[in-house]
Amino acid sequence: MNAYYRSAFITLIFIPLITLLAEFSESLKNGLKTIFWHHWLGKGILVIVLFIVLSFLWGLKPSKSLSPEEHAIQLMRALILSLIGSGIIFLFFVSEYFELL
Amino acid sequence: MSFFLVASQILVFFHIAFGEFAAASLLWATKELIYLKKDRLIWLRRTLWAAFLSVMMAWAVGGTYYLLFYPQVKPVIKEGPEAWGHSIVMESKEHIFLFLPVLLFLLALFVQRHGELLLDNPLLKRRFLYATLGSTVLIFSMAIMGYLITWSARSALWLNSGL
Repeated sequence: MNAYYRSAFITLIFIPLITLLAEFSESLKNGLKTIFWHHWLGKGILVIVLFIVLSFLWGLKPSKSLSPEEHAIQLMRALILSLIGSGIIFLFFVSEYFELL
Repeated sequence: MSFFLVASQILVFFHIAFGEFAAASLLWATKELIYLKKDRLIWLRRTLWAAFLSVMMAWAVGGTYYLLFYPQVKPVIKEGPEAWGHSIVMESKEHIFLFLPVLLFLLALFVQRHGELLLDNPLLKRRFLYATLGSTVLIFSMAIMGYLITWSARSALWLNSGL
């Protein structure tokens, strides 16, 4: 389960990161379009691939089983990263619309 | 009716239907968690996997609509009176959605592998409940954003029709 938690954290950080980077860098957005046909499709595919590959790689390494308290911490971490990431994305598009950036 | 209209309406219908099924599954999972018993763990597992699979289907169907048909709708919204419907809401929705499959997979997999831990650990159960409720809030925010996008499209169409 530890491999999935770690992969999820990296993926949950990757989502706002690639979203903002693609908005700031036209070349990255165009690169995603060239490779995946549409930048959003590219982001979705990268999210899936990143999560699966990292889970597989971390899964190869034996890890200790987690206590219930550690599971609780990891689940909350995933939730908090998702909520903070969602907030960052929303606020970015609000500020871009009102030309605050 | 044109093929464009029928196909796009069907895709949006199924996108909403899968999204609502996912939201209902998560609400059911919340109920199972609050009144958790050993013989009901299977239902917690089923509802969370159902939510995850529904979100994946909503992603596939909504994504098809977004890639094939939304490019014709986008300029209508952007040139209409509520351009924020695309610039803020759609842009946020399409990216925030990406958190849901990861989060729901994690929740479903946890219950699949370690669900029994929830039975005798109140702290873990409470945190798991928060994570489930947080996912539910994200799914309902998708529904609200979907409504706001159709609002902005409808406003543009009404303006164009002269009403």
